[in-house]
Amino acid sequence: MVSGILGYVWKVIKMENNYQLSRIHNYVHGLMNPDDMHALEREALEDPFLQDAIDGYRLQNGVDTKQLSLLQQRLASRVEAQADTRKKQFYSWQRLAIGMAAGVLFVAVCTLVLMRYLTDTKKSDLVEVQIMQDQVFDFNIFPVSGNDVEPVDGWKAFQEVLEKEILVDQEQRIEVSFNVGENGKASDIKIEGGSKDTKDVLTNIIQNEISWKGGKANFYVEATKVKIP
Amino acid sequence: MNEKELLTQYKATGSLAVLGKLYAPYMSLLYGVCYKYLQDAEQSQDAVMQIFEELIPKLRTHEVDNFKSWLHVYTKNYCLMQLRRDKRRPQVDIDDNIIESEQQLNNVEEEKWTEGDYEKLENCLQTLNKEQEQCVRLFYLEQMCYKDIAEKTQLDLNKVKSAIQNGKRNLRICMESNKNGK
Repeated sequence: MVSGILGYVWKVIKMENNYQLSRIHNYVHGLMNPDDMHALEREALEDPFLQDAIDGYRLQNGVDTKQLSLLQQRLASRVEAQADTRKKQFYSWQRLAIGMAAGVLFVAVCTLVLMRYLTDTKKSDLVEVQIMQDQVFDFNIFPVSGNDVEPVDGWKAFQEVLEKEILVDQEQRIEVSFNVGENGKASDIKIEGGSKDTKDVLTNIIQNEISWKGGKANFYVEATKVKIP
Repeated sequence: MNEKELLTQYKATGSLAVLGKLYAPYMSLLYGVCYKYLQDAEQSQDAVMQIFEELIPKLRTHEVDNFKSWLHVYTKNYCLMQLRRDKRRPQVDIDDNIIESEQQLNNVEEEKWTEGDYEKLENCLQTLNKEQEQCVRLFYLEQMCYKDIAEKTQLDLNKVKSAIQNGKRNLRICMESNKNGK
């Protein structure tokens, strides 16, 4: 591309130069008519550069176009030498840029993978803990003699609430007794067995979450470990 | 793009393609100038290339108004330095060079002439010596070439050339002193 444009420019310059050169050549060799000679002499009187050049070519006995095109070639290759180094520099910059981009990308990917890996390890830790605690307990309710209450929504609903809210870490039996008022609320709740936490949660469930019908409650809750295959 | 724009562009970019565009049109003239002083084809070619090399840093820092005449003077100086280094005496006519340098300094734009100026010119022409007057008349008024003038006046071609150059200079001095005296 560059050399193509340069080639064109040289050609145009050459054409313009050739005109002036052939005038000089013809002048030096006396091949011009007097009018043209006068015109060139007049030009040269105003243009010492031209006069010097004419003097030089006269000393050389005319214009040697071969020499001059050789000079043009030398200039062209000098100019192209720079264009080439610039191209090379450009490409090396380009390469450097690509390299840097690749580096950044690599670091980004590594970071992502590492983050992924780290969160994964955390997750797997959690899973391990869960597995250790993954002892699921069933809560079964057994009314004993003297019991005449049941939850308004049925024993099954009560059982589901227990399973959702009470956390135990071993099998146990919890004995419960209370009175039911006319508004269906439990009072005078007595609980035997189980930890303090279990007792508090169970008391809260019986008192506030479940409506009862009947008079006197007397039952026990048995937490049994579910066997996971 | 004209020379001024090329110069500015080169100063900004340092692109040799631009400098080449600026330099190439002058190469054949430069070669002629170098040959005039160095009188050796190979040395002259090298000089043209070497001057280009010297322009590469110079034109990035120097402010150049008239590239053509600057380049001419630069080339001349380069060749004279070369000759001095080679301890060879320059084989050029010193008179000619002095005249040309003066011309360069006096390169003022021509003013419009009035009727009175032509009268003054006629008077000034008569103050020149006979050789100069004759040559200047033949060259400028009859528009003859050096060769024809030399034949007509039976003078040597170089003598005709210097008579015209000196006559022109004296004429200018005469015209300018008249103008100032007015």
